[in-house]
Amino acid sequence: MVKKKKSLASPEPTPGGKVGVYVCHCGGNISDAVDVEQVCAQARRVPGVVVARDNMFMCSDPGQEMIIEDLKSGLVERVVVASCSPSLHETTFRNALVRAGGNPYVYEHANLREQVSWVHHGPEATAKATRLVAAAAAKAAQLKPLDPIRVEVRPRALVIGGGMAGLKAALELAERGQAVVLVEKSPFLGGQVAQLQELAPGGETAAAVIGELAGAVLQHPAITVYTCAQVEGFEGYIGNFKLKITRTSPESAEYSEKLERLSQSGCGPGEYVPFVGLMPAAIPESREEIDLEAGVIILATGMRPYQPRQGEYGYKDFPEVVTLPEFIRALAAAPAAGDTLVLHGRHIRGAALIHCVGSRQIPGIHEENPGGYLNEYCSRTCCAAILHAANLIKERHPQTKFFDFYRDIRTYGRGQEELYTRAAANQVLFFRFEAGEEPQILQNPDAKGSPLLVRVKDVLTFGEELEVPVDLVVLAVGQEPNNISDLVEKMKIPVGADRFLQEVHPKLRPVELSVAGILLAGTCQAPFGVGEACAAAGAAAVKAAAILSRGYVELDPFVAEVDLSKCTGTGACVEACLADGALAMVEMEVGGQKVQRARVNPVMCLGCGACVAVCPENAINIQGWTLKQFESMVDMIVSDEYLEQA
Amino acid sequence: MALVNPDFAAELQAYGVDTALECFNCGTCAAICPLNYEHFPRKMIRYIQVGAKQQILQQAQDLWRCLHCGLCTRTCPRQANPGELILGLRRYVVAQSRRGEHV
Amino acid sequence: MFKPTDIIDLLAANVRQTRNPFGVPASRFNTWWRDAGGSTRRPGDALLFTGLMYQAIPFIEATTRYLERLEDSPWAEHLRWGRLVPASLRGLGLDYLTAAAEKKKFNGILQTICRVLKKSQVGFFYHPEMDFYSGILLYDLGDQEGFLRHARFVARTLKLHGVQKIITVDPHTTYALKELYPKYTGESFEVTPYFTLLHLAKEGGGNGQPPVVLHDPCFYGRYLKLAEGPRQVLRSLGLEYVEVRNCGEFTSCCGGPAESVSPALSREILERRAAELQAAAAPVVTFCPICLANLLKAGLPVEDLASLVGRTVNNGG
Ligand code: SF4
Ligand code: SF4
Repeated sequence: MVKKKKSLASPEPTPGGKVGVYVCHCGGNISDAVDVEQVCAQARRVPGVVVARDNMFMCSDPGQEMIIEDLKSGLVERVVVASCSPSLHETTFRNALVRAGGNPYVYEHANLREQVSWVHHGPEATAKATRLVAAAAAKAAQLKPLDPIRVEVRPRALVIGGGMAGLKAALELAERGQAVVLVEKSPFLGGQVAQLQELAPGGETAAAVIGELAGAVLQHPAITVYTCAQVEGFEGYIGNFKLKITRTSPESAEYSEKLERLSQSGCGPGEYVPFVGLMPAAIPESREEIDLEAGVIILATGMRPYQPRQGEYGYKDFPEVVTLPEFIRALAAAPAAGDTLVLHGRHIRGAALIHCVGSRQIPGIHEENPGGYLNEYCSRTCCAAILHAANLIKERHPQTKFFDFYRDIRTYGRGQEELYTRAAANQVLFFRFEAGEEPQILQNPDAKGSPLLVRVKDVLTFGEELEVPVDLVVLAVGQEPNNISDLVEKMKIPVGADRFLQEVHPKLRPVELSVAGILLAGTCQAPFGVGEACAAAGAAAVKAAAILSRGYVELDPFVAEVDLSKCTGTGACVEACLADGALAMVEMEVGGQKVQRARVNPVMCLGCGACVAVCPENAINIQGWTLKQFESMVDMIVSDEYLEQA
Repeated sequence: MALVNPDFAAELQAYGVDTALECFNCGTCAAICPLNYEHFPRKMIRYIQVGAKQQILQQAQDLWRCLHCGLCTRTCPRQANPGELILGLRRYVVAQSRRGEHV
Repeated sequence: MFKPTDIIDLLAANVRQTRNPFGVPASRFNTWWRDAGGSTRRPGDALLFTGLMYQAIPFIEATTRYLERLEDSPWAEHLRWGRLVPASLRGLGLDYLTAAAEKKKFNGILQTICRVLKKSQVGFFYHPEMDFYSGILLYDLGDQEGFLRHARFVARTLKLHGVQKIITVDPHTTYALKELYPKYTGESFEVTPYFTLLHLAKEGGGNGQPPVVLHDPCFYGRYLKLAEGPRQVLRSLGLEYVEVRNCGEFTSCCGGPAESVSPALSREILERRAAELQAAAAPVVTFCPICLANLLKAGLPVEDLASLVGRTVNNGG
């Protein structure tokens, strides 16, 4: 299952020598604080260094070419690049080594930007840069070529979540020829989108979108769907996840309401029912367990709408105050024609729309939610959704007046600004409030008028206090991530301060998690619109398909390695090890005797070095970060021999 | 504290005031207006939007400060024609005043 | 509380009685044409329509000067509007108050316009009985009723006289006839400002005139987008001009229209514009009687486009 790849075809570098040092100006980011030329001059005096060069941007093509040429000409065999943070460009330069026919691990990186030029100035900056470069060069002189760890991949993807993003990811994977298992907690497919009618801004219907997508998923032979299912057991690593799925009859009241709707609709299995979704299979009578192996996992666990507290904008105090999803549901039952909108038999002459409910909450200004947190983020979809609803109604029922109370209007995407413009054309009247001065919902003292009064200190009217009588208040509630703390714990997934799952890099690796092999799709990651969730799901599916179709993955070989000539089998390392299954004592024959010796499972090893610290024999080391290499770095940091004489 | 009256804007249509709800209160007009005076003309336009008839009548004198220079109308990003709205309000106030209504 | 109708009603009454807001019969101040040489109407000729704006300025100015002495009195609020109504000073002898030199200057502009139109071989005629005030002030002040009544009268009268083509000389009248009349009276005319009709050969290449700086009136520059016309005239005469940043569609108001509401406000706006123009370090040329009178107050070297054109043509010819 795990095997070492054939060694990369590159000559063994000369021990201890032929180090090339390449110092980057970072377009001034570094060279404004660091005397790059002086760093190069001093680097040339470090033992083992044969050349030191500088470039305005080492990461540019000419910069990389410079390194490749030196490697190809044989001048250099080991490389140090001194530039920005390794998290940004270490891979770039390792790849340059590969392009030159070298081994990517005979490379060391020095960070002169975050660790020097951005935090130090004057001669000290140049002095520190010089020592960092010297230390890196000393380590580079000690590096050995390594081979990446190659892991075979189980040819199956697991998608968790049967909403828009999960369905989309499953379908995309299946269409790329991959086997998919989709697991959905509830009895239904369609997620939150199935709770909507028309989707902003384009007006496609949820029925059409979900109907089409879920239909295709259910028909696809490569996709297995489990509803009422949850991931209970999880172990393994990229390429080899082992999962236990359980199916049980769900108990939540939310589901029973939907089951009720379903049975009233008269629709059969696999048919779309508004505000329910699709129920592809019967609810299991008894608990079922399914064992599953998967090469990749896509999390599409989705979001839920913010639920206002009792009394928040009069919610639950007044029956006329509803959330946008509740309003959409009520609307579906309302007569479609007529001058004024009629909801539950009441004429809605005036309706207030309130933005940012449960979003953009500010510490010190807003009250914490029951769980003790604040949703400081913008939910991004509520502005468009509520204006879209207002436009629809206004165009159907011209006599219903809308009063829109916003903190900011954020109709940010394609087709969304038009919703705002259309709302103005539809004579929606806007009011703006400051955070902390949210509109108040009161009983209208005028018993003959509308039941409620919205009182607001209106920024647009120069801070004057205005009152608007209304028959209805609709709260544009934001998105919150679904609670998946069990999965988070099992899979050790990083979660952001906003409780959404956190990607590796918001721009460069937007659908990957730091746990290799687990990908993100949709609103478990951040508030998204339907289109954005689909785009993210597509990206995750392509990433997953790439891993699956290659059949193996390569991992960095920075893992523990046992020197059997030194190991005496104390077992201290196994005790210290932090990762389950990474290190074990195994029986083996040494010199004709059966003995206990440590053995590393490189795929599970974190490369943390806890074992290195405890081994009394110094018999275990992290490849690419050996104690010897560290020592040489420290020696060079304290040495003065390469410094220019004043 | 004023009660919003959304019907006032419709009442003003008879005086050629029909673009007030296009205004999204950006304040461009007030910034470019040479009068440089207390949010004028946006102030008046906002009063039309919320139906603050009393405020308009109380501050009617300000309407006649407008030069009809048209800079606001030219620069309004929403074609709300602020300058023309000011002229329309003048017509409204004059008509009110002629009708003997207390101005 | 403010009652706009006090003054509006006075002006409207004047328009009803004398067909102009000043309350004196046009014949009292519309005298420029007597010295302009006759013009006979030939079929197809356009009517030269002054709208009585240039003629009225010296009288308004004289009234203002007189009223300024009363600025601190309790009457001030209404007296400022009184400047538009020289008739209120009838007892003092309006002609006596009005400097002859001023009258000559503004009448001269109209006479020059006549001369350059003729030189450009434009077929036009003038008849004082067909030259009316446009009603623009009533429109501006919000007296829609008064404006409509007057505008309908003017439009009907002109139609009665078979007028189709009209040549205008000032931006306010041009705006009224071109934009407001069709919209509110239903009558349309072919309205052309005089400067777009000029075809003057380049005689003498500007005669070594120093470059001038142009001040576009709001109605021409912005509302009617006619700023290019005067520039073309200057170029055809080989006259050089420079632009200030706020020109054409984005010209700055000279503050003139605020004079009656608040002289202080008007002054402030005028000074801002004057500073913009002064930065160009060149004599100012404009083409609106209100702008002209107002910019003169700022102490700038300013003249009307017609005066400059007339002088250039003279010297060259
Ligand atoms: S038209 Fe009136 S309100 Fe508009 S910029 Fe000019 S002076 Fe100000
Ligand atoms: S510029 Fe236009 S949109 Fe902006 S505040 Fe003025 S009238 Fe409203």
